[in-house]
Amino acid sequence: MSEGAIAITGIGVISPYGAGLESMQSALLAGRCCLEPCSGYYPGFAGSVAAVRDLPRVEFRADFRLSRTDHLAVLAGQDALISLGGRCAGLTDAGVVMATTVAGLSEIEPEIVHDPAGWYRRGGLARAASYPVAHVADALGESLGVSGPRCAVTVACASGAMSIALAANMLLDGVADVMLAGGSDALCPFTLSGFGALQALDASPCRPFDKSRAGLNLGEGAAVLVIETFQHAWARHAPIFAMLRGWAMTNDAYHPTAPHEQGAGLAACMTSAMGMAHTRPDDIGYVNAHGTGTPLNDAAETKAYEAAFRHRSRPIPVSSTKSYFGHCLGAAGALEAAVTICAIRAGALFPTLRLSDPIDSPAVDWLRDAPRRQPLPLAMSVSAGFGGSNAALIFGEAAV
Amino acid sequence: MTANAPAIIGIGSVTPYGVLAGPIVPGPLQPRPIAAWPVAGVRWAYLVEPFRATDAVPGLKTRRLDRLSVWSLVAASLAVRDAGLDLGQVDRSRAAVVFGTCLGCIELTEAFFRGAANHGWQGTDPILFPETLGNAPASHVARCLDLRGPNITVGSKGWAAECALLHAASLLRHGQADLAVVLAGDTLTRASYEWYEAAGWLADDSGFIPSEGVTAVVLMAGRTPHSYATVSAGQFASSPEPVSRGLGDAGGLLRLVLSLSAAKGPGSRPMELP
Repeated sequence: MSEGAIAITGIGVISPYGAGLESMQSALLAGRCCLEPCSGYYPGFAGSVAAVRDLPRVEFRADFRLSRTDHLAVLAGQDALISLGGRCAGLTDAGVVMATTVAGLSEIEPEIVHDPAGWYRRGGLARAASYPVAHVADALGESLGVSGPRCAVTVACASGAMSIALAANMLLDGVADVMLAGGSDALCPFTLSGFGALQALDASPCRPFDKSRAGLNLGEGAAVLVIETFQHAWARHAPIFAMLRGWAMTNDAYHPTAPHEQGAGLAACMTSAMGMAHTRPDDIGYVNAHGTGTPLNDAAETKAYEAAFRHRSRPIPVSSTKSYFGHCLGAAGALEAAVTICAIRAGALFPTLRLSDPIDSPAVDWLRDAPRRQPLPLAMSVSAGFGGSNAALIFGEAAV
Repeated sequence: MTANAPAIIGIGSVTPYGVLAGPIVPGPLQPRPIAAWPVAGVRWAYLVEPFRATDAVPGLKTRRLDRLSVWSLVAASLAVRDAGLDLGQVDRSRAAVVFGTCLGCIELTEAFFRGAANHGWQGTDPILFPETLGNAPASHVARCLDLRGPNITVGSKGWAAECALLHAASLLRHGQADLAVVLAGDTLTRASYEWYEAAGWLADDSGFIPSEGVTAVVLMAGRTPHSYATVSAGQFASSPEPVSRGLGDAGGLLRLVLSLSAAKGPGSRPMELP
């Protein structure tokens, strides 16, 4: 195992399926969609969302108000600790890199703009404290009692994957022996309104990569990965879920919201990640796509696969699991990293739901209908976001 | 000096000191009374003087952008100019942008909330929404300068600027980029000012005077023809309390540039940053 290899030794998840990686994996294997009418959660908003029901309470410092995004992050962090199976050595000094785009926006009310001072006096002051994105990293760190370096990443929908990439860089820099990396975002009226105004929401459950796709659905959740160098994990006999073999980040430098039409930035990102992992396109057995279901994203993303995997001997298997639990924004890349690791561990390639008439592409093997069972030594998770940012992560079996 | 330590080769800034390419001449700075929103009595802050972005960077398009994005575009362009970089000779796919901020694009976030307050959540402005995202400034810099490498926006309580600088240096050290434009900044708005005030952080005897601005540096790997300093080492940290709240999270990079400027000008021997 190379010195640069990063081991994933713990995974915590809170998703619309509940807490735990197992609950998410079994739901994906069963093809269970958890998108529901938005009106049940946010009256006045149309379309479908995937919400986390009955959020369990967390005991926390009275002087540290948790936003819903913080709350999700803390629950995922606690689940990550459980996944370590009691092997928590070195965790006290662990660093934290958490991604978010919403952070404490859910705590702010529109009335703040008319009289900020009055809004703060009426209880807004405590709520505003969770507004900075850094608060999510602090909430996770404080709740778990870890005292290493902390930072937040906010790069739109590529945030969650980037947090894992940056935490891996920090491990290679020797900043900490163990890092907690992931993403968390809550549903809130601000984002529902924003994506609605952009006419980016599908009123029905989304259909990523289908010719009839009409937009995305928002979701919420959080995932936290415990990562460390392979040597560190080996030395402390930590069970390893999977290896992070390569990562890369790029930007389209093209448009504030639209992806590059040929997917050039995303293709370069995937190629760069494969270079770092010393893998060839034929070695990648599955790509967990960004696959939002918007007309522009999915077309550009398909072009990106055609470019990045053009030297492959057979089409690349691709699916979007946003068709199960929506687009969780800053948490998406972290949750989908967890899904990709599930696929490797279960030897199952999850299909895209509701994909009946896929985009024509000879380079892509669109996964649909039922999970495909096969050994999966290497898989990739890709993310992209507003502002043109892209991230790709390559995971491998622990034994590879 | 650490071998091949990333070097700071260009500086640009939009701060209360002015709109500048290159070092900032440190000197006394007077706070100005706030006139941009209604205040009871007189309230003071170190503010960026209004300016036309195209005066600083001809041809720059900044319509309907948050001030933080506008200032980032200007500061980044000036830093590149100060570095003497011909971007046409640079592999732009290996040029990163790393931005540090505490509050992000709060001016247009407030504008978006205003739309919701006045017209309901169904009546918000679609053009505003993408500009409220924290990574909007960094993505505009990437698009304007055609920098296609990693594009990262980070926040960290009180030291987002230092965090951005360290992540950029890490990208260069690991060969994930050859060059990085590193920026840090925050703007002052009515909601943020009154937040500080409500929290008691502006108390006369023990408080601070709020400020705003964006500072940018160009960081380059390997041997460079000239540099202001090298980033030889650094340490990420967790901070239970803000350490530079008076300057927002622009503070770290601005203080760094001020210290560099006080110590030396370009062309002289690089100084190592601890």
